[in-house]
Amino acid sequence: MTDALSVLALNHYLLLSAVLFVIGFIGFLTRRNLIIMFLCTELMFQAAAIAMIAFGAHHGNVQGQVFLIFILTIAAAEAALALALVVMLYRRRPTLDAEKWSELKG
Amino acid sequence: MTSALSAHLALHASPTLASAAEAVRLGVPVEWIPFAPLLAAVLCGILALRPGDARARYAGAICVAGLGLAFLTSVAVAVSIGHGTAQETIFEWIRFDRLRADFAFFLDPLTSIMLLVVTGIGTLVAVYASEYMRGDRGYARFFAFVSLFITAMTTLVLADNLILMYLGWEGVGLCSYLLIGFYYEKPAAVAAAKKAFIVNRVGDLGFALGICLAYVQFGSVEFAVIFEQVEALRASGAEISTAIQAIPFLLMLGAFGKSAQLPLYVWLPDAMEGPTPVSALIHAATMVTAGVYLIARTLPLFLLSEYALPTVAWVGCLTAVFSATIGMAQYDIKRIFAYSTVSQLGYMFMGLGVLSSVGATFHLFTHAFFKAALFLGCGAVMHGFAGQLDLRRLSGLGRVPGWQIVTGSMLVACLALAGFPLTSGFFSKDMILAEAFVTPGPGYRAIGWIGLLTAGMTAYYTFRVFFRVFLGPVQYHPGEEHHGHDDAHHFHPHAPGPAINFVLIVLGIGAIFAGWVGVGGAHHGWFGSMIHHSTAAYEAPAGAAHGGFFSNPHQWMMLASSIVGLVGIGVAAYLHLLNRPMAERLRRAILPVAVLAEHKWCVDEGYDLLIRRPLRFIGHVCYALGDTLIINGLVALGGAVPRLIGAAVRPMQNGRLQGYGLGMAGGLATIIIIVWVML
Amino acid sequence: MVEMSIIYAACVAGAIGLLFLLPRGDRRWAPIGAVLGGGALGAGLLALSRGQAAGGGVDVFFYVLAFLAVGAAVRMITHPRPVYAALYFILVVLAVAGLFVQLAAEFMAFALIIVYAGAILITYLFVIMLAQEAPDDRHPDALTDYDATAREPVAATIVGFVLLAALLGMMYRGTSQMPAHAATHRPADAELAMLTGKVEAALRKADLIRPEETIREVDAETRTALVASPSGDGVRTVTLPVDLRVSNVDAVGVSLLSEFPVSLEVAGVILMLAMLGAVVLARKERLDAPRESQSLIGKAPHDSQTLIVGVGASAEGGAS
Repeated sequence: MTDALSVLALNHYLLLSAVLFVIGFIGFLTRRNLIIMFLCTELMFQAAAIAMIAFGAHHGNVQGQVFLIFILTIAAAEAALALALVVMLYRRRPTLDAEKWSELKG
Repeated sequence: MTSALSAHLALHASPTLASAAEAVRLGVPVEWIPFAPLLAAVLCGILALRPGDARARYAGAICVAGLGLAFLTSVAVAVSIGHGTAQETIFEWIRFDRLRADFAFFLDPLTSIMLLVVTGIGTLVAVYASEYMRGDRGYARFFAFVSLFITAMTTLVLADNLILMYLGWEGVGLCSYLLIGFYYEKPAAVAAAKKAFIVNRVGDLGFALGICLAYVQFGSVEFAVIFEQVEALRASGAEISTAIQAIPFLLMLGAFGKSAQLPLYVWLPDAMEGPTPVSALIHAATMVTAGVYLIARTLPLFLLSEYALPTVAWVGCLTAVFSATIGMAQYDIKRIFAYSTVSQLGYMFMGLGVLSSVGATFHLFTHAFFKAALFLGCGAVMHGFAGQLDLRRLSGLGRVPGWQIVTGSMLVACLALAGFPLTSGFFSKDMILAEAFVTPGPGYRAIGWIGLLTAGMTAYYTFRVFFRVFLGPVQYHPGEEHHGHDDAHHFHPHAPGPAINFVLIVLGIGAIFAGWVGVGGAHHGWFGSMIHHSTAAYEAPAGAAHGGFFSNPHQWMMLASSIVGLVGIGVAAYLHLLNRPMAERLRRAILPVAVLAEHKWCVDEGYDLLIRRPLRFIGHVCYALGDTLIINGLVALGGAVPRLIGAAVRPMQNGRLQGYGLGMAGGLATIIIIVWVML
Repeated sequence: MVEMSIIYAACVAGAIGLLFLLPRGDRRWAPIGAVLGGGALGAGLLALSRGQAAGGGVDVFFYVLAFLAVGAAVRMITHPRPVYAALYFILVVLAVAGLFVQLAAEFMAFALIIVYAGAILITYLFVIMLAQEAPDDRHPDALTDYDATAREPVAATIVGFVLLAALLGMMYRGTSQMPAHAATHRPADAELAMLTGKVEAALRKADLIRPEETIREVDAETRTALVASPSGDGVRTVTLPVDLRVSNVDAVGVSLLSEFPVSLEVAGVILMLAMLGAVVLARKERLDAPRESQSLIGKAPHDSQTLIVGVGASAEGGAS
């Protein structure tokens, strides 16, 4: 293994992680296509993955990477279920517009 | 005058609980007296649960059995108690701190007399009602209520403390309410029941306050303890505090409510909406005398205030004459006797007020017989003539076949009520009137004269009924309950059966001879000696001479009231038997007065104007200001604030996933910034 | 060490740039947005690299890959066509995988590419192509309304960049208090003690042990192995070869199996349930099914979806 990551380098990765996370979040909030919204959540997973790996490298162990395996697991499960839900919704009403699905309003 | 009275009281009126009475060990199960009717009430109540249950016809027998058992026990108790007193604790009821109110009985001769009257008349009325109420849908319900009433009334009479007495007091009030409103489909009955209940509330409030004040002042609600303290207080000769003097006035208010005295008498005439046996039992013979009993029982308390007994006397006197004037002008025979009841109750209070507790309780005793007979006779007429009670539409019933026993007993009872010589009412009424003339007190002599005048009026209106209804040409119209056919000529009154006739005969005999138990000896015979050994005892003024004819007030009074009574009967005979058109002419001559009297001197309207309407007005104001504006306003405000908040934040709940996401992100940012600033 | 004011200014500039880039009716402002956004990102990274001279920083690959990742991410959320968005996401994944390699996480880098760029993104593309109306000859630029315009871009951008500024502020506050290098008490190649098979294979390959001998124990700290012969008489110590190192895959595998075995099982169960759930949710009602459940699901516009989604879901499960 290489030397442990310095705090300065860790800052770089964390900034990148935060930027990607916020971009994903803004995409989730602004895009109206259900599929793209789920893509944006995947982007947020990527951001979290970068932070995990960077912290793991900083501490010089592999637990960050092990954790990422579980994140990938959840991401895969989420993608499968979310896409199945999208398909089901699309069968009911042939649109992918998230605005059309607002029955839960108060 | 007042100082003379108080001096007289101080000298001669002696509560004799400790001195004259000796404790007696009762070998009789006295608890059967309230509990046998209670058992009957429960059984009848079970039968009444299912309407149309064929077994409901046994309710009458159950009730008669329960009441009869209570009566037999009462006789045994009366024999056993003699002139002594006894206390019997059935079970511990209320005990905390100093307050001890057990379910315990206090027995003395006054108690045993009251028990005999209540259970005896109760049993007779139950026998009567078992025939009278037959076929009624609420047959079992009726007997459940009557049995419950006897339970409550005997509890009231037997109570050894004020709180248990209050329990019985409210119990009889409840039963009275239930029985007045027995025909609950009739709006008039419902209104009368409510009126009775509400008017009684006024009095009961006074009674309750009196109990509280007695507890505060004496530290106990038990009669024995209170009377001991009262005697100690009187023996010490100390100044009696205003608070203690207020107790009799509060108790008096309760008595006036229950016993229908001015100004709370208005409920009793309306109470005649109930079934007639109820009128006879509750609203003539027993319950309405509870007020008299209350004052007689707590007479030592009343002796503490020099104004208490004169107040009682004057209220009773005014009630007597006032209701007699109304009774003279009524046409409904039941109502006439209702006003007569109010009037006779006035006599009883008069008797208590002029320190003739023997006279008062004696009148209570005799009145129970003849007034029950009168009401039950009215009931028989009502029963036979399909609810007809208007004396202008009934005439000459005495000659209708099968009505001789009713006529006879009515005649006897009317004579007793009118104070005809040697009947029961004659002796008891004279005792009161005579005492009014000899007892020194504020205006007591005037009370005596008014009482004498009232006796004449009583004789007149009583025989007005008798001559109208039972004598004269045979002529009758069925009442509203007759639905068979409209033609009055084909109406056949059905004569009373054996049960009714039996009861009327027994009561008629009682109406004549009940008076003899109070005659003879220096102390008014057996009855007087009984009362003299009770808490209601007082000693007759020693100065009143029992020597010569005119100097003996009792003999003098017998003569005077005989004359007055006979005059009244004579006037009635002339106007209502011999020359009936004359009565009509006379009525026209004094038309305004007669109409006013027919309308009960507009007392109900006056109450309506003076009390009900202002109260309603206050109620409306309170409703408009307090309820609608403040309370409803607060409630509406409490509802409006969340609604406003909801209206403000509802757009955020747009159901769109991304809106919630935005909120989440904003919340997260806010929390991070807060933590950042705070750390 | 880090100029926070530059970071905040970069946040504002980035927000404005992203606002211009988000899909809307006209695209005139997009270049300005791109310039602003790129400038903001550059400013932010510049602010970071001011401490570079102190040593222990990042090399140029980081900057290239970071620009690539952020640029692709921005393009992904701003491109109106979902297919392109998915493709840009693949680019993000590739850049992130490159960063993982930079961080010596080679196994995760390739796992990311296989799982994300391979399995998940393919599934996305399938669904996009099923549900999206493809442009045809008559409408060469047919964009659905909900793809062409962003929803509440101003509010979302403001909130997002406030969040970013807050996160960065907190982050630098935290990391500035940390020591420059985390203390690691773990010896290098500690996993060798558990990897006796690997050590034995290496020793055999280097002919350091006899064929009948087996390794009894490995001491990672002294880099020696205790070797025993089957006859039981000779136990000797062998020094490990210098080129015997623990790879990233070895380390992750050992950690996964020795430290988190239960989590591993749970992850497996979750994947299986997700597969079942996807099948149940996306299953098309059979025609002979009871009518009421038919009406619950509604009418299916396409016939072939069920099969494809089912295959996609199980493909993911297998890939992970």
